[in-house]
Amino acid sequence: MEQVLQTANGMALWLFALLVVSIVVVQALMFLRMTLNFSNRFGILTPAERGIVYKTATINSIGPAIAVFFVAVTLVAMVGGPVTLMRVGVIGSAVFEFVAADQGAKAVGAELGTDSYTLEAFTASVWVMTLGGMGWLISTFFMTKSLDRAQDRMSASNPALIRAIGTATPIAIFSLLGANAAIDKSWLSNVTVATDDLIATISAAAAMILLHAAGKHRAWLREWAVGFALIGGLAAGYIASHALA
Amino acid sequence: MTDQSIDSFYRGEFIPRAHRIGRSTVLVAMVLCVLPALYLSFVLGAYPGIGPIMQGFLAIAAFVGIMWVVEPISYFPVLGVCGTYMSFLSGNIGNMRMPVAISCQSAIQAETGTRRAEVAAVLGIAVSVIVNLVFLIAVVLIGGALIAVLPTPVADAIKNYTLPALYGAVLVMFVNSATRRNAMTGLLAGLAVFLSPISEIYGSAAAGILAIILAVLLNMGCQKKPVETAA
Repeated sequence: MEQVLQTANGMALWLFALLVVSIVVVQALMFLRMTLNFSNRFGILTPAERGIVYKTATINSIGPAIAVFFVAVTLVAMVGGPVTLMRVGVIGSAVFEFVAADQGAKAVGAELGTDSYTLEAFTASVWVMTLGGMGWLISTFFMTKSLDRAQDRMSASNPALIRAIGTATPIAIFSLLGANAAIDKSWLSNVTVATDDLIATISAAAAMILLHAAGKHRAWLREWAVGFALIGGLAAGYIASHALA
Repeated sequence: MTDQSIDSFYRGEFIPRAHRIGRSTVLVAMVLCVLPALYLSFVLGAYPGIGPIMQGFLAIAAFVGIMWVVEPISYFPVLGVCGTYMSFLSGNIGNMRMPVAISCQSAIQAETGTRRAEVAAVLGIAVSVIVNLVFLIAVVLIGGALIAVLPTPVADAIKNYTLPALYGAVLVMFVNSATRRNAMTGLLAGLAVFLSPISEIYGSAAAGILAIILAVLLNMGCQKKPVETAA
């Protein structure tokens, strides 16, 4: 275990992690530059609006980033810093990487975080994480062009349809994510409601409704809305869990 | 006139370039991702053999295999071309990229489906990728020390309630950006999947796809009526 972590935190893996992180950063900067040029050329966003977007994106990334942080810390203890950085930085849902690392270890009869976790088991974990995450990269590589073409064809014949799809789809996704976060069930049976989670969801949603109304005439409030709603939801969930316990 | 030239620039130059950047960076990332596994296996000689790798891979594929195909489809309507390449390379889509995209659009009051909305989403997602990496680097460098600084109640609340709260808040934002009819379509699709036997891990992708199908069916019906097309 000690020896594995030494390799897992060794120079070579740091170097690989750095390479992977750089490609993510390079890609983001290339898209950023290209889109800024596009925006400036046709005056799509004013400089003030661009400032608002940067600020809003930063504010709204911090909350989720801290949450990812907690899972990542556990992963660092198991598979070391570089692999965590590279895997959670690329494709990571931190939770997926956890399961993948675990499955890789199990396949050689080892267990994460114990002495049975040899260098071979670590290598198996890395293989399973890599190949498992590869699926999303391959489908993105091959499918994005066709998705774009399909959407373009539809918008030419029926622009209302694109707006309907663009707004209905995320509502379906997030209503389900919200329901699943609070309610556990097998099909129509064994329903358990996590009251504290449910209260966190509902309070954040209610806070958001109020903030939206209040933000109609206060631009700065729109930038902070999700952040404030998150804090409201966290506080409500925490108080509920203590009141109920 | 200006609109015309924006659109022809967008389709003729912007989008082809976006695909070139997106595909080449994703390709490079795929190659770089495999290096650590190769290094551990063949330089350090810890190759566990094809058997265990396949066994572990199949266990994972059985559990997320469908998502590889379904997720890019169901997130595409919000993320767009640039956003899809960025989000699937950097991950954390439901918990970070989507919320950031909608908050940026709402902060500048850009309507879904417009160029303004698309530019705001791309800029926002790019910024969130950078912020996320800064945090991750902090994790691996400072790690536990940073968590030890947080008072226990705060740490507990963040750990347990960030996702439920985020989903609630983001759902409201998306509902605010939609017409009542489209919002109902989305909520119905979510409810239908929730009541179905589809297991929780596939749920969100399934709900996305169902919403796309419903939206297509409902709007095709609409287009046939001449009154609505005229209006």
